[in-house]
Amino acid sequence: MIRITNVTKDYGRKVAVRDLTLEVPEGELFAFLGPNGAGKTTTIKMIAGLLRPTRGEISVCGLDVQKEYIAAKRLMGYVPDQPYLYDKLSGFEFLEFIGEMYGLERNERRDEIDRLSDLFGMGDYLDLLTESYSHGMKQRVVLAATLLHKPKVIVVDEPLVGLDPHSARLVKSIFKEQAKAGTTIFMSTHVISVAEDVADRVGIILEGKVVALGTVADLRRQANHDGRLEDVFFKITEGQGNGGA
Amino acid sequence: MRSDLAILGSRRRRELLNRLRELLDRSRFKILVIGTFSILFWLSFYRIGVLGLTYLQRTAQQYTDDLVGSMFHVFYFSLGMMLVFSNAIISYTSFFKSKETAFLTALPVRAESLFLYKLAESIAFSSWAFVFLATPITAAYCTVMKLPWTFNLWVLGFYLAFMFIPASIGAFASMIVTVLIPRSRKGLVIAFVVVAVAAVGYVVLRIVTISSGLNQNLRIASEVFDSVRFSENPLLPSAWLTRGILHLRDGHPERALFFLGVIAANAVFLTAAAHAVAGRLMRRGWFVSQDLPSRKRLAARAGMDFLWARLLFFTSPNVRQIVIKDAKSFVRDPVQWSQFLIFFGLLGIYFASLRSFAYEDRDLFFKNLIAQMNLLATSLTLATFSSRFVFPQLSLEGRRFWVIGMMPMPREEILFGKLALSFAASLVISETLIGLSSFMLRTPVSLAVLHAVALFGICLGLSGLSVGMGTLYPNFAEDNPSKIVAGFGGTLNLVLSLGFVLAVIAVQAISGFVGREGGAAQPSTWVVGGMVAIVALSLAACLLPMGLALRAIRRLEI
Repeated sequence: MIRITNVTKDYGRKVAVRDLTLEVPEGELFAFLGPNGAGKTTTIKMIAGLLRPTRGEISVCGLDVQKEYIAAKRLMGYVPDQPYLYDKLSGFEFLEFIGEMYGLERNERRDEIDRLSDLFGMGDYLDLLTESYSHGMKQRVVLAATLLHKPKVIVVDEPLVGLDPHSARLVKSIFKEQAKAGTTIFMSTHVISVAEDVADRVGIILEGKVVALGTVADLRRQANHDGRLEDVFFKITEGQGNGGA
Repeated sequence: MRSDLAILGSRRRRELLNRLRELLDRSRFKILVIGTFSILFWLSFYRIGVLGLTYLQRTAQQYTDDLVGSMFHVFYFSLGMMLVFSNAIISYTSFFKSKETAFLTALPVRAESLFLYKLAESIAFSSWAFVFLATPITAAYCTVMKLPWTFNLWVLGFYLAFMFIPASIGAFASMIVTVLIPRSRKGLVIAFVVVAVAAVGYVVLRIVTISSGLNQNLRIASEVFDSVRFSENPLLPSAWLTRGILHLRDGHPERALFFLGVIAANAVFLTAAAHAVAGRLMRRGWFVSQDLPSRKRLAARAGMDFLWARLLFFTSPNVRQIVIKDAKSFVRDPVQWSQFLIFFGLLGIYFASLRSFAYEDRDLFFKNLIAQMNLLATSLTLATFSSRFVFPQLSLEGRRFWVIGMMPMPREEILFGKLALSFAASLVISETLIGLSSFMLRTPVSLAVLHAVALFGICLGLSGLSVGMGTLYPNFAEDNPSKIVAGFGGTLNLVLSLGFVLAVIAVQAISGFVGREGGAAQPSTWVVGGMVAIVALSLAACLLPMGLALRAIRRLEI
């Protein structure tokens, strides 16, 4: 699970995240919605330990991500918006490297790589250098790398950007399965339909503050609107923009 | 289970093997060219070293040992300082700005392991040049002094131990500066460049002990090296390196071993100390570097636009806009122009100090020789920079090519814009430098004009060659200029550029020397003929690749 307590992040005068308190329990798929520059990626990076909060604390499975960062990272998987791969390693070599880094023994690593290769349909290109991969292929390898060590928490930033419909559907179904199996998934996206499709709960962030939090049904009640989540989103955010009217 | 550092090391080895395999499969020509040129350069430095040391032995036998000792002290001190600065800059980029660091920070990798992994990378990047420059000099010394061949192996051992000292100091500096002075990346790069250039300038300007009354090279050299006695300070690691090598020369291996031990012990101590603090400093430095507030860019500066418009009066408005766009991109990236500034800045400092050596009072033959070498140095630097900065220009449009590709203007104007910027910028800088050299040396007007014409042709030829070849061998998949240049096209361009420069220099050198046979300083048929040949060579170097490139860009599909 993820616990965010009174977290603020500022860059000089600009406050990217304001006094955020949030708990995402085990087995929940949480979607963080918001426009560009709202603070989604900043929050994601603080959970992943890439940024340090100006104030407040973040813990993952009871471990403070700043003070016990190694132990916390062993339990986490992080998928950035721009996948990073080593150009001169093959997909297989990259997965081997990641698996070993997370402490998987050789046989276990190989078995998991085979399983994930079948799952993501990577068999045809896993032995080629990653510099020759398309964006979709890279994203699959990165996702496979994230799942290799069976993390308890997955933090993912804009998971479906640049994916074809088939890949996007595959990713959504994998996230749902992972959540059912007890993994906590914290996902940021600005594509509202994705959140509506997969999320157990949704948080809407605007200018660094969470302005709505709950299931899709809760958000509809809050907005007093029964329509699609997209309409609910605009009603809530425009309401906030007009001073909460 | 292996440690995180062992896993990282294994990954790097795997990557290097894959790169090597790929090179052998696809780029044998590149390996052949790079290998051949590397061997040629090494042999040239070696040969120059042998000639220089032999000359010293012949003219000043009783002073040779002292002079060579002083030379080595200065040489290793200079290289050591450069190593510290280059390691500091590489460490800063590698520790805090690379995408790989961001990726590894999200993994369960200890900061101390990440530090050692990145330190190894920094040492590899910065130190290969140190070894490449230093080994031919010491090999030449071994030959001239008739020392046993094992001397070279010992010296290599000294170098390998020595490299860790500036690497650790540079890494320390980058971590401390990032944590304590995190103002801005641009400020840091500017600070490093200014300090580096100032340090070198200080050393050069200290060599102002020569009066015009001196008439012997030996006394000049002796007084020059007297002024750099500070490099023999026993607290300097470069002094330990020099003294160890000199003890090897004198046949005192036990004393040499002592200094090797001192270097190794200090290298281990500094590396261990840096490793010990890396756990805290690297993590803190990482977070601080991510926290740097982005600065608002100023709106388009009318002054710069006005200047470029005046400078490029001979081009169309579309071409001028492309030039201004490219110029702003270059000027706003300190990583790009800082390299430019270091090399041309050093040349400028050297040319400005020429009168310290009283070269202007020497005979015409000697002045001509120095002027030729200055022209060669400027031209070779230009060739390197046009390959590094001009060749990748079209490729860097890359995914953004649609922006200019969709504009209502002929595509050829894109190339004319890049050609105009490259030519104008290189002409202004190089003519200023060579003009300074001619002024300081008080060379005859005809020689100065010949050099100015030669450089004009070189700027034109190099610009046309690099823009043309960059269009014929584009790489739109890459955003990193150094990776674009490292391909087949970039290598070929560099080889052709160097060949062109050497051809022009040879033509004007021959015409300049022959034209002055008997010491006459008047222009002659040879000088005029040389200028005509230079113009022809330059036009060919510019027009041939540009002609092919203009056809290629019309057909270009991305």
